[in-house]
Amino acid sequence: MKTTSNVAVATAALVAILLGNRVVAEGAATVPDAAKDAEYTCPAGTPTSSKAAELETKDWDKNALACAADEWFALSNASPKDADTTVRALQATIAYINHVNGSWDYDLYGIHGPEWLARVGHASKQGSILEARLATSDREDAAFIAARALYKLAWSEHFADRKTRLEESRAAIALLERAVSLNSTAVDGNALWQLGKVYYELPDFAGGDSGKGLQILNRAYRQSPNNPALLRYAAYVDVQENDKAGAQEKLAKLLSIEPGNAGLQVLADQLKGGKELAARLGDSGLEKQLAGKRTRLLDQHPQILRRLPSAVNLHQGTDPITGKDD
Amino acid sequence: MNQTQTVRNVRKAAHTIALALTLVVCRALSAETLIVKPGQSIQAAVTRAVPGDRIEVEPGVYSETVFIDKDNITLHGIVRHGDWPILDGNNKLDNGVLTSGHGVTIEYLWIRHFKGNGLMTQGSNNYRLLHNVVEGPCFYAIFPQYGKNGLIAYNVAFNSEDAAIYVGMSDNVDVRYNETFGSFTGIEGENSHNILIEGNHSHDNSIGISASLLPGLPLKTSANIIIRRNVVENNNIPNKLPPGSVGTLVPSGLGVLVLGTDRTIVEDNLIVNNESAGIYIAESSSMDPSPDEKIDPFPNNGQVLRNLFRNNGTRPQGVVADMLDAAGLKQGVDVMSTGKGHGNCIVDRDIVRTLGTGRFEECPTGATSNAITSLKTREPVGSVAYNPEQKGRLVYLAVCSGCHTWDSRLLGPPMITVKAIYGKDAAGLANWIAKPVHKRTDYPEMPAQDYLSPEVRLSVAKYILNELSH
Repeated sequence: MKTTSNVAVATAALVAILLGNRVVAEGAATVPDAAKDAEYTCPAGTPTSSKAAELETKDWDKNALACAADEWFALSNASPKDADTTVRALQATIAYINHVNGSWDYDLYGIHGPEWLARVGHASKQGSILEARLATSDREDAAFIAARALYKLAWSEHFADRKTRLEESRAAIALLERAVSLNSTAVDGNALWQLGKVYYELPDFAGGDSGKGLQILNRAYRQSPNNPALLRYAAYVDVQENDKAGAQEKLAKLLSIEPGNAGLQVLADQLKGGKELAARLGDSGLEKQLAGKRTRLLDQHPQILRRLPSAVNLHQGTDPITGKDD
Repeated sequence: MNQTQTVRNVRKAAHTIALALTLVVCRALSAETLIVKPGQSIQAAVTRAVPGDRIEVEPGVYSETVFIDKDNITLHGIVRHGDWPILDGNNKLDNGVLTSGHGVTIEYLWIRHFKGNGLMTQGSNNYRLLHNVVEGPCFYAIFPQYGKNGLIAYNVAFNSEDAAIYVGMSDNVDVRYNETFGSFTGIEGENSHNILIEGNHSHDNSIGISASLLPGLPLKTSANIIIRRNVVENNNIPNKLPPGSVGTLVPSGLGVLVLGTDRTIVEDNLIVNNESAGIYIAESSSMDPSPDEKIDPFPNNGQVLRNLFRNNGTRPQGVVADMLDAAGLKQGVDVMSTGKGHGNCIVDRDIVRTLGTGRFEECPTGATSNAITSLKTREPVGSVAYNPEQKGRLVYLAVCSGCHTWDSRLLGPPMITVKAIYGKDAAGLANWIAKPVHKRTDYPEMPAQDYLSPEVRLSVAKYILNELSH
C-alpha cells in the first residue's frame, strides 16, 4: 500500500478561513507550500454574474473556478430569495469542487492533500449554505433538486469521512430520483447518469443496485449521447460488464465530440480515460485516435492540465526497466 | 622509438592485458569468501567482490547502507551463540540493504532502525531473502520490487509504518514461513502475479495479509495470488498512516484483504480475532479512488475455500463499520464483500458468516490449490544486467523517491528546483549526492549517498536532470 510522508500531511486538519477574497490555509508553519498553494486572489470589484460566468469558462484553472464560486456565492447572499441565482451559485461550487477532486484523484500520494482539504473545506462551507437555501425553496424544479444531489456527491467524495459519504450518496439517490422524475434530462443529462453511477457503485446491502444502475445508464446514454463524462463512464461500465461493442460505440462517440461542446479540461480528462479504456479493450486503433485527439487538444491549449500522477515513496507511473510512462 | 621497440612494447602491453583478463576470468570462476569484521565496512567488501562471491559478516554492529548491484552475491551473517551481525540505521540512515543485482542471497542479518527500507530489492531476479530479522521503525521492512523469481522465507519483520513484507510489481515469488507484526500490513502482494503466501504468522498488524491492485502504477493487473495455511490473528492495531494517504481509507481489523486482484485463492488459513472482518473483498476504487482506466478494479474469479474463522468482526472499524451500518448490522462477519466482480466463489457459505457475497457461486466440489507447491519458476529466469539508464531509474525509485517528488516539497526539496540549480551538470550533482552539504535550513540534512558507486551516482544524476519530468 502506498502512503505519503508524515511531513506532507502533518497539517491534515487544515481549516480554511476566509479573509475577504483571499483564502488561507492554517498550518502554514509546518507546510508553508500547502498554505501558499491554497491561496487565490480574485478580480477586484463588485461581483457580477457576467464576470462569474466568464471565470467559469476556464475549467482548467482551479483559481478561476474558485473565484467564480465565490462571486456567485456573493451574488446569492445579496439576494438570498433569488433561487435562480442560488442554484447557479451551487452549480459553480460543484464545478469547482469537482475540479479539485479531479486533481486530488491524480495526487496519488496525497502530496498536495493539505491544499485540497483547504480548498474543498472552504467551498463546502459556502456550498452547504447554498444547498440549505435551495432546500427551503418551494419550487419543485428538477435543476434545483439535481443541484442539491450533485453537491452532496461532490463535496463528500474525498472530503467527508466514509460514513458521511455513504449517507450523502443515499440522500443523493432520493433527490436524483425526484429530479429525473420531473425532467430526465436535467442538468444536461448529468442528473440521470449520476443516478445510474451511484446505483452501480454502491454495494447492494448499502442501497446500491447494479442492475438498476445499468438500466439507468443506458437510458441516460440514449437521451444525452453527447455528454463526454457520461460517454466515458458508460464505456467503463460496458468494459466491466464485458460488453466490448457497447464500449467501442461510446468511445467512438467520445472521439467525435468537439471542444466547443464541452469544457476543455473536461474533454481532455475524458479523452485520457477513454484512451486507457480502449487500451484495456485491446482496440489499438481507437486508443491511438483518442490519444491523438487529446494530444492535439493539449498542443492547442497548453494551459490544460496533463493529469500526470506524481511519483513518490517508491511508486511511480514510469516503468524503471523500460522507461515508459504509465 | 624504432619499429622493433614499438613491436616489443605492443607485445608487452598485449601480454599484460591478457594476464589481467585471465586473472579476472579466474577470479570470477573461483568464487571467494570475504570476511567482514566489526569496525570494517560491509559496503567495502561488496565493492571488492565479483559476481559469485560470498561475503560473511561477523557478529557486531555496523552502521551503513549496503548497495549491491552485482550478480550472484551472497551476503551471509554469521550468528554465533545468539550474537547477530546488526546493520543499524540509528534512525538516521534511509536504507539498510539495497540490491539491484540478480541472483542475490541475503541471509542471517539483523537489520534495524532505517527510516526508509530495511531490505529492498529493485529489479533483482532470482533472489533469496532468508532468516533475516528486519526491525522498524522503518517504512517498509522487506520490499522486493520489479523482480522475478524470489523466495522470502523464515524472516521476522516488524514495526513498519506500511507493510512489513511488501512484494510490489513482481512475478513468481514465494513468501513462506515468516512472522510479521506491528505494521500497517503484515504481508502484501501488490500489482504482482504468481505469488504464494504460505505458512506465515501475521499478527498484531492493522491488516494481516493483503492482495491488491492499485492504480497509477506501470503494471496494470494483479493475479494468481494464493494465501494459504497462514495464521492470521489479532490484526487490530490502529491504522496510523498519515491522513491524506491512500491507506487511510483501509480500516484496521482485517485478517485478509483482497483488493481488486483476480484469481486470488484464500485457503486453509486460521483467521481469528480480527475485529473488522476475517476476509474483506472489494474493488480497488473503494480504497483508492485514483482514476486509472487501464486497470480492472473489480476482483474476479477468486476462490474463498476452506478456512477456519473464529471471533472476527467483533468491533468493526472505518469503512467496514460504515457498510455494516448501512446494512443495519452492528457486528462484522467472517467474509465480507462489496459484491462487485465476476466469477468469484466460496465454499461452506452456510457455516461461514458472510455479507455481500450474494453473487458468489459455490466453488466446485473438492476445489483446492494443494497441487501447487510453489509459484517460483522451475529454473532461474534469464536476467540481463541493467544498463546505466535503467540503473538510474531504479536507484532513483529506491533511494530518492522516498524523500523527493518532482514539483512538491516532501522531506527534501522538489526535484524541479534541483534541476534549476544543476541544469546539465550531471557530474556536479553526482558529486553532491555523495557528499551533500546542508545549505537550506528549512529542509533536513540529506544523508550522504556515498555507498553508491560513482557510475551509479552519475546515472541517477542524469536521470534527474534529463529524464525525470513528473
